[in-house]
Amino acid sequence: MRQFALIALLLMPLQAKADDPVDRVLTKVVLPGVEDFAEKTATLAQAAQKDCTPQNPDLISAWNGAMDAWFGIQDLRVGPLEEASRRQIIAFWPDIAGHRQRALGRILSGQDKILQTPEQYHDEPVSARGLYAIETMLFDPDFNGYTTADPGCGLVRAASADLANIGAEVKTTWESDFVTVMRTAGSAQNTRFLDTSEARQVLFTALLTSLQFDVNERLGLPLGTFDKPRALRAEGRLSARSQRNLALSLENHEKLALALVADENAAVGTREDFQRLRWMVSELDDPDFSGVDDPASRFKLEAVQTGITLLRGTVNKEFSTALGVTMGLNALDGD
Amino acid sequence: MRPSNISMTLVLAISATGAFAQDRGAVVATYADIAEAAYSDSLLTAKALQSAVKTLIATPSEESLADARLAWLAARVPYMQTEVYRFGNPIVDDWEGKLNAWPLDEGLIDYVAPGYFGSQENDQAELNVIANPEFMLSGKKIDAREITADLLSNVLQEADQNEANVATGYHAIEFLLWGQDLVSDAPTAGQRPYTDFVQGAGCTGGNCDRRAQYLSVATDLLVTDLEWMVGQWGKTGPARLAVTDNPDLGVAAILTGIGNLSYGEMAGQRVKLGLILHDPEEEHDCFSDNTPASHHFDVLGMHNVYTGTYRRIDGTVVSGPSLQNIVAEKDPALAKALDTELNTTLASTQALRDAAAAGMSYDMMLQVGNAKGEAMITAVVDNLVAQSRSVERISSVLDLSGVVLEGDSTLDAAGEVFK
Repeated sequence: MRQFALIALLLMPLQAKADDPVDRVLTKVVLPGVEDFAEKTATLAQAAQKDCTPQNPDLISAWNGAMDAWFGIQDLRVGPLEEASRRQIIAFWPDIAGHRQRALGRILSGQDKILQTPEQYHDEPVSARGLYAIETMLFDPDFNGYTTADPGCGLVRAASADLANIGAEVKTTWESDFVTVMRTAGSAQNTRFLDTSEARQVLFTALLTSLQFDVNERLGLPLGTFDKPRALRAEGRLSARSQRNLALSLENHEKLALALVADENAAVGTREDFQRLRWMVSELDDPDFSGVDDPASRFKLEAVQTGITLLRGTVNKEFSTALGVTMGLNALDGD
Repeated sequence: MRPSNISMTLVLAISATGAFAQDRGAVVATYADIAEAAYSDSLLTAKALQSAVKTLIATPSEESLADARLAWLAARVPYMQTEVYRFGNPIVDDWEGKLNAWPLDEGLIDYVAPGYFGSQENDQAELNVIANPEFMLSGKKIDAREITADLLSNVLQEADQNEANVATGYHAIEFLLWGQDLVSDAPTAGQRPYTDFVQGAGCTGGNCDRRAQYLSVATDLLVTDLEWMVGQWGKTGPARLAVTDNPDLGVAAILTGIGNLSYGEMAGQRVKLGLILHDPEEEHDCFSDNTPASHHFDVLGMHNVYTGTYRRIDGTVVSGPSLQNIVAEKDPALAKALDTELNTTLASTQALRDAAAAGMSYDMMLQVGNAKGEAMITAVVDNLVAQSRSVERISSVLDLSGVVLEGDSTLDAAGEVFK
């Protein structure tokens, strides 16, 4: 179906010029982002192949590189990452129920025979795949004691190779298909985006959804309530990357926002808010957000959370005017 | 993670649509009538369940347990058709967790098999209140000698601020009637024996008196809670007035209901997570293996509110001017598109029911390597996503975008956050 649609789109004369904001996002965010993620996940797979142990500095650095690269594309809540569950395969988080430890434990105990056919690793549940499964294997003291002779080694290799495959898939699917689908929004043959505003709306919705994800999950989960902080729920706690993840997340939201509205005189409030937040996050000094337990440092995290909530309101106001769209359905509006 | 309430400010701020106000008034009246009828049916079937539970407790037998299970399954049919009211109606959303919270750590309630895992960080995952008349909770000693509605609703439900602690509602009752479903590679649901309710000699699982007491209290609560909700949709009920007093807000609520149940809730969480985790615990009605029906009647509920038609459990039909009608006036193709998509989704959830009836239960579909099961569930997810796009388009065609789909008070201008 998709291929057919693509051929139809390629055959038609390209009268429809891509909408400027959409085109800027494709050029400045999407294409470099998917390229980088594919490259960094491939590097990770190679490093794991060479030396799979957590003592290998190249492996740790390659995993960090892949994690960093993820933030360059996490805001693309449309197209390839929303198909075939690729978002969840790459980044299944949060996992409050603890699926990850159970799934990895099942594989390591040999109860699941997948490591005999590592090329089939894509059949595994998302809890045993992707960046966070590898993080658990490399950083969680319950899992990272393996040597080259143990199943953990095979698991890290298989999961890294699987992730690299997904990274490559995301890149090629965007390049060979979805970029065109977005660029031809509103053309008669385009059944995905019936007019140009639908393509703008989906990117605008993605930005607001991602900001909400930072508020509710990235910060909201570890903050819990004042009486019951939940430090263990912080994203990147194992690798002490919680603060870095949040900083990169905001940096990339800003990149997307500035691509959507390029005029420096527009969305002034948004620009200021991003700048202030960048400074606030840099002042945190709380790498794994364990500060949620301490009233003084907790206060700073709460301030950042409020700052993002306010930023989100500003983005909504300024961008719906600038782009002429309102927010669409929000993927986080479930239970 | 719960959706926030629709912003009144935005609703009031949108331009008046006087020309359509009357049409929209009739549409939201139908919507409220269907709510009242569907909650009334949920209440009727809950009362039938209550009576079957009384019989089970008075005379435990294979037969009385089977009857109680059938009554539970029948009660799910109208209730699931009301889930579409959950999003867009704060009165429903604030209440529904008491009835349908899920997933749950069932070890909070009763005995579980060795090897059972509660969710991480839940200190109450194996509390087993049925076996423990006294226990510590968040540093406080709890007297649970008597199992009361207060204990279930105010002490155990969401104990320790953990959503996995579910003590009331359909799924708690389901667990007590079926027990854990420990087999996910054969079409077998939970196998709790009726003797778990036998008083005195012959009791299995221990504490049969407390188990019976728990089941009885939980079922009574279900009835009381549904009675309350029926009242909310009565002639002067606040849930009805919230949508009829402002028809634009009412129409927005219909779209929010269909959109959020389709996209964020079902396609994003409930149906999808089971599929990608391959975990039978991620099955909505996991003890009874009733998940295909549960999904199906969720979608039927969306179809009801879109087409303005609901078939009651006694066969009578409640119908009236519908959302579909007013969309058709503006964009007939779009009106038809959503109808077709809803029917396609219904066909795909019916396929799950047919497969389950033919021996492939939902937990089998979720197993790693079951390509057929995976394809069937994936089709449901894809169809839900497809129909949600039409919901977005409709909100735009009806000039309701910005009201319908944000559903989020924090999105208002920054200053509103502090109000």
